[in-house]
Amino acid sequence: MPFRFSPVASNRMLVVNEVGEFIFLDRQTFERLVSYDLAPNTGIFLDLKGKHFVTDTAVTPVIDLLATKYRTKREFLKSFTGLHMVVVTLRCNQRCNYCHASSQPTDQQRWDMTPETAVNVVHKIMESPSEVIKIEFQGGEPLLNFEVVKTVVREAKRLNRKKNKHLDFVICTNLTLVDAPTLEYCKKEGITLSTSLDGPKEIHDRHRLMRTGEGSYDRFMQNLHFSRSILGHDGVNPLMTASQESLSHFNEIVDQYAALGFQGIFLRHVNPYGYAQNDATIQSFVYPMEDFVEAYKKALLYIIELNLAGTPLVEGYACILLSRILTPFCTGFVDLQSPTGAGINGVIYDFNGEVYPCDEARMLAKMGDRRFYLGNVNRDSYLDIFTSPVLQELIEVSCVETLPGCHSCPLQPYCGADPVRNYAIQGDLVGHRPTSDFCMKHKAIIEFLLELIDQDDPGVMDVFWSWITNRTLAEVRGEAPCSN
Amino acid sequence: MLCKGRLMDAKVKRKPGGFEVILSKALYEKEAVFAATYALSGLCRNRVEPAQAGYVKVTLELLDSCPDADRARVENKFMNELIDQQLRLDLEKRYGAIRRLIVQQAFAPLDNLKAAVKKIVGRD
Amino acid sequence: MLELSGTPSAITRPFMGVISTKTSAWFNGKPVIFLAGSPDNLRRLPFRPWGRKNLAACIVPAASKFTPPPKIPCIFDVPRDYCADLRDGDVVLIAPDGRIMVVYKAGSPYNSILATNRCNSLCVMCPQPPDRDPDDLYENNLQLISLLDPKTTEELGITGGEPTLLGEDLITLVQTCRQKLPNTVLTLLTNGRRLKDLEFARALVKAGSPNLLIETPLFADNDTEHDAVMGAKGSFYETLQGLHNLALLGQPVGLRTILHAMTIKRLTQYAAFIYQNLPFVFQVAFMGMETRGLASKNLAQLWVDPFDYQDQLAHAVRYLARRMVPVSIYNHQLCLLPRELWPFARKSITDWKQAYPPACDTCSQRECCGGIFGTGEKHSAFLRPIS
Repeated sequence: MPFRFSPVASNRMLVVNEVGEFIFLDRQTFERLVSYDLAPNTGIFLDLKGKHFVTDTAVTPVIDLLATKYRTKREFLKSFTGLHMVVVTLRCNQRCNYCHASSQPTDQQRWDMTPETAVNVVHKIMESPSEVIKIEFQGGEPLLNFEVVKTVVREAKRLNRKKNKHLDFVICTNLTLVDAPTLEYCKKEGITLSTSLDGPKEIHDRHRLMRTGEGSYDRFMQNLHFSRSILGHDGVNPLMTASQESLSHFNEIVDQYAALGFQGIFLRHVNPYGYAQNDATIQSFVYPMEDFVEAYKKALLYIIELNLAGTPLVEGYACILLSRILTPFCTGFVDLQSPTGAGINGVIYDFNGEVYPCDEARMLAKMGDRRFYLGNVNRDSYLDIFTSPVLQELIEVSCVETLPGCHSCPLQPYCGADPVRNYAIQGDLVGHRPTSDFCMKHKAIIEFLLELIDQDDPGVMDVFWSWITNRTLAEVRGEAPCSN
Repeated sequence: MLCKGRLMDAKVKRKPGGFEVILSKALYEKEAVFAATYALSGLCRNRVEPAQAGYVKVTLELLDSCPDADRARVENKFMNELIDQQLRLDLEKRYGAIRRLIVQQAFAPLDNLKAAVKKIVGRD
Repeated sequence: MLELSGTPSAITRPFMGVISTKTSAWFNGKPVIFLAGSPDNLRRLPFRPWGRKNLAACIVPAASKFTPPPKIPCIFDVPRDYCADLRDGDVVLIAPDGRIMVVYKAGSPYNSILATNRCNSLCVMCPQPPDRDPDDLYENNLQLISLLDPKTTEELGITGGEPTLLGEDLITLVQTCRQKLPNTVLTLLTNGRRLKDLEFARALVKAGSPNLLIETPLFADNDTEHDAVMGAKGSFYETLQGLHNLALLGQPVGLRTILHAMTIKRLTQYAAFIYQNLPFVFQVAFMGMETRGLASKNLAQLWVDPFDYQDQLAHAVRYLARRMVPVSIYNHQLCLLPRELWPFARKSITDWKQAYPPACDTCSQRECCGGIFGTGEKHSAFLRPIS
């Protein structure tokens, strides 16, 4: 049966099949496998057979089983464009060092989305065939143009009376501007808040600055508690961005997230675009990916320990990868998909109605390269935008099966491609894997997770599955009294 | 036997800042040679050119940016990569059709899968 | 099957009836078999129900002073302690030689219809090896269904042999259950091989829906070992296709394996295979082996003391439980399970087979534990009371 393989750090061969079932083989066993030298009644042969790497008997039913699993794994292809990001304004009251959203001063109203554009955006969104629609308000700081947020929500709900889709709303806000009426509105309309928290005060305030220059941490914390008091404890979810300074403080950041009672943390490498490339702070954001990966691995082990000691906290990135590796189901994740999630599963509407496959593509346009411009909601039809040659090209160059370096990589079933990032950093859509830090990062982290899974420590596996299945450790362990 | 013996056949000539390998075309196909040089293209400048009849010459020159830790290992890495790539090609020749059949069956099930399998594998 | 016997009188052919200890509750025209002796001083029936033709027979316990009506088939001198096991609503089959076979116990969750003794496989540990069917088995089964009380029959099994060998008759049997017992949950035990025929599977699911559950044995993560246990080449992939057909039809399906030397070695791989290939199952049951029938004959080849496979079992159970695949452990004594597995253990041994050896007398967990197979030949050497 077909499979892909690659040597890994532990001097073993990692062997993975088309649907992501994997096995580690020592070199000798691998040699015997590819020399057709394993006896069919041995344990290792049956291990390989049970995972459909080999068969000494029937072939057709095995192909049928693999086909069924393959179809299940690719089910995300059916949900065309579920995530819709709407940039309601470019204005922001903060000026964070790593911002890649080209934020503008608060008094420049011309960077706001107009209500007319907003209505056109909603009409395009609701034409998407996806049954589940998530509308994410971005900025700038969306609360600076809250009326248009309301317009979008109102119009989307109105159209949805006929369409009957599952509709979610998220506002991405720095929280510094929330007030009671805003929060009450969010509560009433079922909107959750997504925010940014980079760590304890010194770390957060190093790069997350108000436009006036002072740190934003104290206001953030005050408003976090205020927001939770109205929206409920889980109504606010934070994201963190790792600067070079935070790498050595991951454990403290994790501790802070746990202390604040967040359900999860997403240890996120900064995007090398936009203001993150400004000269003054460049050394904070352009650091070797190896350093991030090493810090990430250590932090992940620390988070696992925390969980085992009774503090539930999910590491979001690992959780997504683990779902891909360990479950037979499909795991959508816009940032790491094949074909790329950009445009297919997510799309972004700029304040002026321009549509881009992802935020990075929008940023490139801001910097003068309109390579990925898909159209404008005020002029173009849904079909014009979503069947644009740009999007078709993106899909063509983002199927990992065909990309040089990816085509033979065993991690293919867990990974994905990001042609826009390839273009932005390496100058072409296909990219160059041997020097890509995107590739380096995913390879290192996925292999790290595979090794952890292979070690099969009961505690670690319980934690992983508590993340994947969103349950407590006690539930995962099936702990319950004698029911008779 | 797919792997053993292949290393023996490659003639390696070390040069300052790199090395040169003469590879038999009977053992390594063009795709494998290119894929292996591609895999190392982050560390080396590579050149592939014809040698005497039936052979190909690969020259790898270490880039200045190549980390010290990798310098000593590049030759070994290249030869291993080459074997892996050729093995992948060999496996793909044998199983590529099955891989395509799996994908086809997943999205557009065949009327007679058994017959299709038999045609490819020789048994069902 | 629980069996009693006594001295027959006027029984010319085997027949079935519903046990009644009361003279007041004869209704629906179902044939009644009156169990005399309660109240014990009743010497004769107070009225003539046989005039309504639903008094089919009388069972008279030993030393009873009861006089049955004339010409009614009777079984006399049935030991009293056995009579005590009979309840109103039980269905019994009475034979001309004086045997009384309890084919249905009212209120028990273990009742099942034996659809056929025939089988298309020959499992190495089969407790009830395949056999030919009596000519009237199918009709008897249809009659049994008509005798059950739809209000109190919550669960009913359909077992074999291999029930799908009945073909169309199985569909009719299931349809009959559905019509006569609309609220009863039916559990069909089948190896699923014949369900690889999608149209047959479709007809079955349609006949049983929505109260039909199907449980299917699967013994390994590969055909080599599964086929060896089943004694049928090719059965692994047939069963898998059957299971996928059922999933396609939205039919709830559970899996079972029986733990012995041939299945225990690769139990985690087995669990992994289920999760990867059959993640839709509503349950996976790990069952202790009943050392009877072929299991007893092949004991030397099959026996592993449950005490010795606790680690493998725990690993496989935790593997599936983490993945939210519901797991049950059947036929295991709590003293042979690590405590972490207790929540998965079910009291599964049929009441009439259930037994507790003397060691259980002082056990604090006796009430929570299902005991052992009284019918089994060999039991663990490690049964001990839990304090």
